[in-house]
Amino acid sequence: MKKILLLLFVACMVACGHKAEPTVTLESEADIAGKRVGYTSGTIYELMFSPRTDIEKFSFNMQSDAIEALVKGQVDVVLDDDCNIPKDEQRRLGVRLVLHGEKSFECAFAMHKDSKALCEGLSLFIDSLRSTGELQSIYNRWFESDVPGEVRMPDFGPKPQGEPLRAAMGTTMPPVSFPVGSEGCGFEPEILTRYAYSVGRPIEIQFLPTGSAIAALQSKKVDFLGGAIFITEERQKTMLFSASHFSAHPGYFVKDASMQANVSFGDRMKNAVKNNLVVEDRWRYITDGLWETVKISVFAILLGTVFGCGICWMRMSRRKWLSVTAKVYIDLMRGIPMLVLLMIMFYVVLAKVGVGATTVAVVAFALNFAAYVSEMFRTAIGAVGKGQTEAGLALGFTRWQTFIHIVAPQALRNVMPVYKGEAISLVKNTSIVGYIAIQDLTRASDMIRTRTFDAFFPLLLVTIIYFIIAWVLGKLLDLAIKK
Amino acid sequence: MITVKHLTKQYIDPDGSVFQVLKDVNCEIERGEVISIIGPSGTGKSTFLRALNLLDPPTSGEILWNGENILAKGYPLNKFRQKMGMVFQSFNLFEHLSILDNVTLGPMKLLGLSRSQAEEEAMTMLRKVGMGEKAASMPGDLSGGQKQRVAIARSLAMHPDAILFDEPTSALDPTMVGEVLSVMRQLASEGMTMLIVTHEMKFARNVSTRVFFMNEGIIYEDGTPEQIFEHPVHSATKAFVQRIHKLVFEVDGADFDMLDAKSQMGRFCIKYNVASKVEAANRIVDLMGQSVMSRLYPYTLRLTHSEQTEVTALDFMKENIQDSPLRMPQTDSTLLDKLREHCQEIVEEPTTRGFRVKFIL
Repeated sequence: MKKILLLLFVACMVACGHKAEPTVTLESEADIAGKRVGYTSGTIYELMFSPRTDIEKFSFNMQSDAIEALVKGQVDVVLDDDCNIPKDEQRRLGVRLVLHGEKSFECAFAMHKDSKALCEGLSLFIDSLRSTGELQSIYNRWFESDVPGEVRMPDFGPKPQGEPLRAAMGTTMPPVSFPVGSEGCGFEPEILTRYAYSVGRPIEIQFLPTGSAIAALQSKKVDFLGGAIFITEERQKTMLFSASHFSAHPGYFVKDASMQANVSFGDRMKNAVKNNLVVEDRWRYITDGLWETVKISVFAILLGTVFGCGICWMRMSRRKWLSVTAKVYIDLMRGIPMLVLLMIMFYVVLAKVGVGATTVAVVAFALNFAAYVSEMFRTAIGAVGKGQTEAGLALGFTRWQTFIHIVAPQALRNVMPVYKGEAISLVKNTSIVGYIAIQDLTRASDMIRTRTFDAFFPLLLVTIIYFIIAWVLGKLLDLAIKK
Repeated sequence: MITVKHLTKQYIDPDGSVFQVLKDVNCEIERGEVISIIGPSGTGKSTFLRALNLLDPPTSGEILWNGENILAKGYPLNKFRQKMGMVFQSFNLFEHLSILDNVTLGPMKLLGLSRSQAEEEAMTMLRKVGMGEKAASMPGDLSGGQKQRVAIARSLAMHPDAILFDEPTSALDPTMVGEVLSVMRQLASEGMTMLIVTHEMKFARNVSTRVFFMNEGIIYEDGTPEQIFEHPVHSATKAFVQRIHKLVFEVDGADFDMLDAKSQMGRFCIKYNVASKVEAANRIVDLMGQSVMSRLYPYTLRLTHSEQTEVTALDFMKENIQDSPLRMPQTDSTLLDKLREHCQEIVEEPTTRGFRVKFIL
């Protein structure tokens, strides 16, 4: 165990070795031709650049991933809102804004087509903020600060009672919108909170990958979609937009090695621990995420095993229709990617039922797990010789008693090694639940990364935690076999 | 105790063809009888045994256990099986349990014995079959003979009224057959009712009270060991108990391929370890073929060998004649002398359909 950790550590160190690279120069927007260009998927930049064939395109899931790739020299240019990376962060990371785009874009909150009244209300509210000049002062407070990430929400007074309004943020970036603890923070959350309180309702804000946030709006799991959402004609066909609350300018970021301070490894690690874990109690993301991951894994394994036994029984049944049903189910489950199954369960199948995301994740993973383990059980039962059953029957046991006392214990011993592998694989697969708004361990590292632009430390940390979970689970199952 | 009436069993192959293993089995078994079931392979011995406790349910017929039809709907089959032990060719010890647990499982779960009672009794049974020392071992650590003795102890622990043995020594290496048979012999002497499918003729002859000779899906002959082994009524029984092997040719004319027949006879003799008799057989076939038999087409040529009596014989059989071909007027007078040089004895005898000349080689 110690050796493995050490090896992991050394590998990471090697991967982190920086190389001096020439800084890319950009004089005008035309200069990006031939360059490797990174941007965040689902943003206006993807719309702008995806038709272009003269550049090498890199679409990242998160803004922080794009910046990290820039720092590591995997892309030459990153396109993002010019306000998105505060000056002090730029210095720390060694990136620089070299060019402003010519065209600016209007941002607004998006709502479901059916939410006309809500849209009108929010639009009126934004317009009135604008006319009183309040919108500008909110904007200034968030955007003009030297350290925007440290600006906090003002005190809105007592929280109203009543049905909460829900918002999903498709991007996580200070100062537009970012999480602090479990609360939304930033320019957009402030506007939404003010609006919600003005109509006497509390607000819940969650941060999701862009695609999931859009799906959440369309399945009416949330009322608003935010996160610097640009108004485009194409989007207007499928959703409603409020009045614009700010306009963003595209910014071209490049790597600037000269700006990177030379810090010793020890200090780098110290800073990393401080930034990623201590500041704003960010370790809570990790502990909360760990709890979610463990909860989903344990319940999915338990439920999936019980369900898998049922499927196995059906598959081995002499009744044709039962075994055919089971076979179809197994083939179906094995044919659907886990992520797709999860999204379908959350946004389509169970969208109307009103169960929590964690429950949906448990069910989805259990369904998938059941399909795999049922086949394992079947093979394991098949591997127990027919003579064992005959000997049991001949002694006077019923079929069921024979199965319980004689066949099952032997099958269990056969199946354990593969079952263990499948269970561990399930734990690792739960890392995709971030797509349905669950803050699991992986998503926790994403959340920290979006704030600190540090890919290395949070990823290494969750790698080690996943490894430990898998190891502990393996040991527990080994113990169970012995019993 | 057990009455079997018109028992049949047929298998239907995947291609739809029907295979009748048991055609019409009838018998009556009394308490305390030790019955050996013998017969050529593929004649339904094991199927019959497995039909008795419904591991392979019969297709039709009746099995009466103390007067009750166990094939009737709702008959408490499991209770019945507790009273009817079974020992398998492949032992089928429970691989995941120790020897002791193998024996205690049934009594504890089915007869409601406490663990200590069951273990005490299991040890008695294990000692009885000489396996007391191995109580803590796992089945994988035992030899075949030891496994089979444990399997017998496991059956005994249920206090059965009868035990079925399905070729209990067929999977054993010859050095281990004895230990299992001696346990079975001891059981028989204690009055246990036993039905044994076996290829151990000596055991069948010395230990059983009755022998069933099964052939072609029925009990072909049923009698005491003396009747079956010394004075079998049917020729099939005799052929089986004396382990007689045959090679038969219908010689239909001068065009018959006698060279091929000779080479088959050569292989036959080698197979049954009597290669030294090939030469004599060839000479007699030549002498007979060139003289008397060339006038008697078609005739039947038969080579037989009994493993029991170790007698090899060459027969010439012709239908519809009353006299020996060797005594026909045209016969060369020196022929008999020449023939005698190649065999121990010449037997000339009329049969139901004609006449046979037998040369004992």
